[in-house]
Amino acid sequence: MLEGVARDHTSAVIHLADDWLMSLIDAETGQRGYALTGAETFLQPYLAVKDTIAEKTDNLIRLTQDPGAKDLLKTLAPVVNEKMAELAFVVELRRAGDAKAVAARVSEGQGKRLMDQIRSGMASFAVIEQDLLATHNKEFEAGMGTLFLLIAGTSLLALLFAFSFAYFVLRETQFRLRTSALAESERQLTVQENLTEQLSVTLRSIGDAVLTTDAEGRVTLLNPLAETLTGWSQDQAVGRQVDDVFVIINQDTRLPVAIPVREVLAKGTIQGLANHTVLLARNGSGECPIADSCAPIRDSRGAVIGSVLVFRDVSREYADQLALRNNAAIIQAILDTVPDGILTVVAADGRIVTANPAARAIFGFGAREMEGLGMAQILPGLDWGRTKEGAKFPVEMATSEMWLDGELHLTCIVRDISARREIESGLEKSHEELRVVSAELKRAAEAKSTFLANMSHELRTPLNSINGFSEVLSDETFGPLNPKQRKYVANVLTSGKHLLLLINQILDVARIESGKMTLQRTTVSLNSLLSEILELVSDMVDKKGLQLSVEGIDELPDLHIDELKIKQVVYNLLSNAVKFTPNGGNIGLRAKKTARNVEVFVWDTGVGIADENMEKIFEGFFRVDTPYSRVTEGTGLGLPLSRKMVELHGGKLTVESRGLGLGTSVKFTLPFEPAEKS
Amino acid sequence: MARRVVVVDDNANNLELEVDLFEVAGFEVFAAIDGESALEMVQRELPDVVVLDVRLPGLSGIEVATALRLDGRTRGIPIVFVTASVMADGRDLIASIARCGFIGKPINTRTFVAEVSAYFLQKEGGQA
Repeated sequence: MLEGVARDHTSAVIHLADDWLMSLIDAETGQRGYALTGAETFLQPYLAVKDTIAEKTDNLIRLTQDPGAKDLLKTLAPVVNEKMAELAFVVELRRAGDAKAVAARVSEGQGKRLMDQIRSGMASFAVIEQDLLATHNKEFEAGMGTLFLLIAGTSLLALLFAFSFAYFVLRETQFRLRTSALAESERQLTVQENLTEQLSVTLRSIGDAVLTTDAEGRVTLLNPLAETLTGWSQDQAVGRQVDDVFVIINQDTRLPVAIPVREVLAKGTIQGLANHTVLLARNGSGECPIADSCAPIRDSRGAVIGSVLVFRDVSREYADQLALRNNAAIIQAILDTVPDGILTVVAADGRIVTANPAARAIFGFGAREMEGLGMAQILPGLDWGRTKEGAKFPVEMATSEMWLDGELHLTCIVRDISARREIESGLEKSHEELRVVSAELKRAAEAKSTFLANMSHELRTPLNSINGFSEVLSDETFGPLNPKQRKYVANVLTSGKHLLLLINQILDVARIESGKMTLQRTTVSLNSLLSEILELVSDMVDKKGLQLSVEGIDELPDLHIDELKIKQVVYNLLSNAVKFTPNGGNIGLRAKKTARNVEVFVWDTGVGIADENMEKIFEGFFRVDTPYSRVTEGTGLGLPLSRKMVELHGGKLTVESRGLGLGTSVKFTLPFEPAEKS
Repeated sequence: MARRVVVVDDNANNLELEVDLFEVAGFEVFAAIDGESALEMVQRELPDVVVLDVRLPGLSGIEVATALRLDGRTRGIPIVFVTASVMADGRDLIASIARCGFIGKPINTRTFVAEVSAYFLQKEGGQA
């Protein structure tokens, strides 16, 4: 029996040596793969060998019985160590990322030389061991001849015994098998039931519609979703040809499309549906776009015994895709239309990824010329840009961040604000000009005021003499005058006083226009004020033989007004009435209190005012030429001044006349509570 | 004893008119045509009243009045300003000077002397 042990031992050594060499070769191949790709998975064989190869070599040496083979292995051991060191070195180089150094190292061929050495050593080892195995085999076969006779004798005895034992075992086993087969089939049945139940639940709850057929294409099953989409119930559909139940057409052409089931059954391959397929539900009760695939069902021997068709409603997906496309179209339209330049830029290096037409127009680039440029090239500053030609211009910019493909990008919106800057600087210029003009106007107004003050002073000084001496003369202080002299002196005095009135009224107009006329308000009895002025004009009235009527002045309230100015107004109006009414005519003053103010009317039956002159009488220096008025009697400023003074009090002055020769009525109002101006 | 008045006006005609009016009314009248001579005259004559034009060549009427108020001898003499100016023109300054009055030009020859007299009569009758 020893020959057999020796033979088995040698055979085991040969296997071991084979494995040993193969693992080395695998390690080397893996290392080469890793050096090329850097993929760690290639290193698996190398890592498996790295720490165990030395032990395996020792093991092999120990097990090898032939002394020659033992020595051969011993000489190979250091070569193997060297090879392992070489492998480790290349792996580390690659790990450090130095692909060039790796390539250089490999091309030196050191690794290959070592491996060749190991291979040839092992080939010699294999020859020795094979010889050894052949020797052992011969020894074994010789030993087996004697052994055979011995076995034949004992075998007969054993056979007899065995038969009787076998019979007993058979009987016992048959009984046991029957019992266990029953249990097994019951168990199988339960498993089967569970599986069916599970399958049915799965089919019901699955998100896709499922339809199965037998090998002839007859429907065998529809899950609930398939029932819904096809419009067929399981009971109605089972046994029918699948073409009846699953009717599909092309979405665009509306022509029938072949069902993949036939092909699957014929070829046993998995088939998908053509795109844009629409499933028509039973009796036209509906339709929906679907996606599907069909696979064969095979029995345990691999024969096709049916097909399973899985499909789903993709109308939602189509809608989503359409919405996405619409959104993209909208965004594209916006990008193409906006006047602002819109750029997408890689945040890390400022490289431009996309640029809209406006951006190209602003920076003067052609189509696709901006992509790949650096932002710094076109936007060196935050507030100015540079065109392709190098022209600088002011910009306004807004940016926001976003992630695209896991990389931080910026959206930059750039606006060329040259035009706005131009307008701004234009506005600034206009503003400056306006300031100059306004200052000029102010100076002019001040010059006018000064001029008027001086003029007034310079005119009054000689008037003081003219009027003063005329008065002294007409008073005959220094001796009597003859009638002619008296008349002339009186004329000088009248003219002098008229001139003084003119000067005063011109000054008043100027004061009002420059806003310098202020009211000195006191509480005044309007009744007294009107009575006083009526008294003052009574001489003039009498002289012309006019009839004066006065109404309503007894029931007037006290007012907070500038007494002198209102007196001036009433005097102006009454003296106008006298002036412009022929002898023997009527004039009148009527006053009344209303809810908010006092109204005063001064009327006459005089010359009236032509329509076309209604506005002119307020323009200043306008006078109606009438036979009743002498040139020297009016200044033409009385009415405009009166209106201004009433307005300063917050009231209104209006004139009415039914026309020439039909009299005039002037109305003015004085509010109780004047809006305090000035 | 006749009242004594110093009348100051740079316009000869106006000065003559005022002088005549005061003389007719029985005043002893001293006339000056500029601020310097007016100041000198008032300090020399110490009149009952000074009638002073505001706009004068050299020292203005207001400067003359201020100087008179600083001089102990003339401090109490009433001053009546007579001016053709109707604009503000130093009106505030005039108001700040003690014992002075104001009459606008053209003057009323029939009331002028009475108006001036009112100022110093009031002074004599009232406060010291």
